Amino acid sequence: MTSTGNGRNGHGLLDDYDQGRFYCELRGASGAETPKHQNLLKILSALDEEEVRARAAEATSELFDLGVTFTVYTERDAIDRILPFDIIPRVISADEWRTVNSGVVQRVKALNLFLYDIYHDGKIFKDGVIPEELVRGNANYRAQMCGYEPPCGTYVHIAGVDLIRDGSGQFRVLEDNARTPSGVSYVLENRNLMQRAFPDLLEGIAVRSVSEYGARMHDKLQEVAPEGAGLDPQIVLLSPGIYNSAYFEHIFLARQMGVPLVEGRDLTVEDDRVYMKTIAGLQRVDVIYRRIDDAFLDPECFNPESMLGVPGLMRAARAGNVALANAVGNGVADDKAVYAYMPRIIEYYLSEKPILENVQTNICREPEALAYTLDNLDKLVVKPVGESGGYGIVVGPKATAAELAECAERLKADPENFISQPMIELSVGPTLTDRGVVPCHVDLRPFAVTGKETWVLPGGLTRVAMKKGSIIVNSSQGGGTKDTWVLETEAT
Amino acid sequence: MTTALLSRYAECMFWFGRYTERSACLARVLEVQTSFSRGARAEAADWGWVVRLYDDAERFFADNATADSRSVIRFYANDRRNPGSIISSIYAARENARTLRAMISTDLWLQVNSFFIRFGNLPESAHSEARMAQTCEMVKKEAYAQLGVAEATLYRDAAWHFFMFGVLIERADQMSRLLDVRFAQIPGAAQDDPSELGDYGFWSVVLRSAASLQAFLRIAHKRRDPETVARFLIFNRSVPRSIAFCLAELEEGMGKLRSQFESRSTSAAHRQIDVLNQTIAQAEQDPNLIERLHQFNDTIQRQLIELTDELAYTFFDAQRPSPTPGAELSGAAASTAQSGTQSQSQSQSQGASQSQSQGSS
Repeated sequence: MTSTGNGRNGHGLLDDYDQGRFYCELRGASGAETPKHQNLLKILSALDEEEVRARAAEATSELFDLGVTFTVYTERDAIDRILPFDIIPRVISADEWRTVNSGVVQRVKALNLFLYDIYHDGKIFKDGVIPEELVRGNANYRAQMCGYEPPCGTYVHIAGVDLIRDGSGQFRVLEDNARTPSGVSYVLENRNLMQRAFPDLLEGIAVRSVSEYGARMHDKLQEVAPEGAGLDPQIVLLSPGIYNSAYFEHIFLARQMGVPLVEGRDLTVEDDRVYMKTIAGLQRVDVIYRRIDDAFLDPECFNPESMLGVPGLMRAARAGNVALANAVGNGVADDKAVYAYMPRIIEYYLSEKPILENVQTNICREPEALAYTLDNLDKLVVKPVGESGGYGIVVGPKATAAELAECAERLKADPENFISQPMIELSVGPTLTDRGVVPCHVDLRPFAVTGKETWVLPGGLTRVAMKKGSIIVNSSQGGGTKDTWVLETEAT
Repeated sequence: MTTALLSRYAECMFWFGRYTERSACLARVLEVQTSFSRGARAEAADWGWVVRLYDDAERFFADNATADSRSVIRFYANDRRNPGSIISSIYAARENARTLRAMISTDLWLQVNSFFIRFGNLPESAHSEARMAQTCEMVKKEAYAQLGVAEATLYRDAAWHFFMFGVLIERADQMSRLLDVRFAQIPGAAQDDPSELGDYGFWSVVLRSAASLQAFLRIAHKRRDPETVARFLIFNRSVPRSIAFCLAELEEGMGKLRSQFESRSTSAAHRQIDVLNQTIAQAEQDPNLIERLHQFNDTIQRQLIELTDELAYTFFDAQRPSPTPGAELSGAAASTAQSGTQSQSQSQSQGASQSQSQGSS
């Protein structure tokens, strides 16, 4: 882009920024005449790159002192790595947010109805909307959940629905996370950092607050407490402990909610009731926000080797004496194979069109989709579904002729094991890197908490692929994060 | 509904306090030894007493042929394999604080974390004898800052009391060890020789290690004989590092824990504090205390271990060993052999903290 403002004493922050052919989160579609967020662009352009760099470095050192870390904690050597924070915010306008908000609410509602159905009557199978074996044969399906009545009918108390924006600027769902989605602590910490390091950026722009997340989550978890828990149910956060890579987040959320952070060894089950060991003896626990995977939750029920879990927890849950959030057995709903059916699942239970569309997905077990996939193999991304793994993903446009031929053979041999999707051009955001301010691909994970109803945090985790050309935004792959601003009003 | 303190948090708070205090005490001992050995009495520079002070001979000499300045400093300053080193104490304090992050103040966590990072970033040269005084100075400052931030910011609930129990028990234990130094230095029969014990310069060093030289000079002037110094450091209730002071604070804290929080019965711990008070009271009346000082110190250290065990049984969810025939006897026999650092360290897993005592094996 051309220099609009210039830095006060040198190089303006956006002087060299070129979004290329991608949709830009700040400027809008490539080649758009009027940039989307003009005011903010003006403010950013007026900043001096070196000064911004210095302030960003300060913010990062603050993170280091705070020990806001992502992984890696080996036995003796503590190598605490910080998830890089990019200071240029990602902005979502008020009307865009309305779509995201209602789309996420709709999606969570459908997921809960779906989970209830598959663990009860299985009407959706009888009506032929989704093949029964795809669900009940899934590795994440938990037969122990059959017939269990979750309070408020809620299975997915905390949802993280991963969204991307395609070349036209439309939000699409990339995947549902219905198990234990992480990252919300970064949403709150990033805002905190932003307010401390760049208060001038936030001045005059009405950005919606993210600070009530802890209180909201606490309220929602109270709503699902078992009957008889009284007016002030005891909520705890169950963590695998300090060696878990997300331990910082566990601490953070326990603090935000004001609840004890417990480990499996702090809990005990007697007469199908859960208690925690305190200096005053055993104290009753009513709701457990657990950050331990199903497999490790209860050695009586699942992995008998697990030292992290609590023997008898599932008995207590089934007896209705404790609520687990998220519920056990949710993994089947956020599986890639089931994802492909989500638009139909939404229509089936809610009689509504999906507000947020999936990435177009061809379910290869269906003959038409298989034929289409085979015909367009060089343009599509082919993904194995379920827990099959192993085969890996084949990216058509980047594969050799031999690889494509091999992929075609596998598809024909076992079509049920695959889906295919078109290549998507992820949107970008200007990001401060060693190479200057460059466009980096971003995604968005909004967080929804559900008790009786669903509330979506106005904001979300924007992950950014900081390596040149990379579209992988995973934190393990050199990804960073941005503060995500949901605007109160339309104009900036 | 008030949530009672988790047993595991109570235990972590205890060891967080204990390791913080320990890093400061270790730094004091090394600092004093460094300046003492470089002073006029350089010929008397015996680094071996530090090893004897902490009963570490077995582990120390497994890796080192002699106790010279280099090996002793390495062992006690930055050897991660030694659980009784400064770096291990800082590390253990931080691990406990990390577990407690959800309940301690952010200011305190920042201090703990920056202390850990600062010490970890020291160059190798910082652990040389020449630089040891500065390094110890830094450790002391950071550790006291940690105690200060804790005092100034921690919410005063039951957790606070457990933090202070850890600090106070460690402080009393360290004081008792420090008082034993002269005996550790002079083996065997020479202990009876009063001229050996009466080393003026040496007792100044002990007072400095206990951060009490100025106070001592204010009230006792020139009488820097072992008897006066020992009595000052054991019984003076205005010396914040004296054993009597620590016991009085422990007793007060235990009383508050019982009256203000829904804690379990504190009677066993109270009884154990009474036992310690009795030991002190008897010693205070003993005209020949200085001759029995070593014995007295042994008793104090053993009774502090027993107090720690009581806390573990009552509050930390540790299982009391089932009584076996002759336990009384074997318990007494076992405990004298246990005054080493090993018995003073946090167990790896919850519920094992009593492993050091009562001959449960």
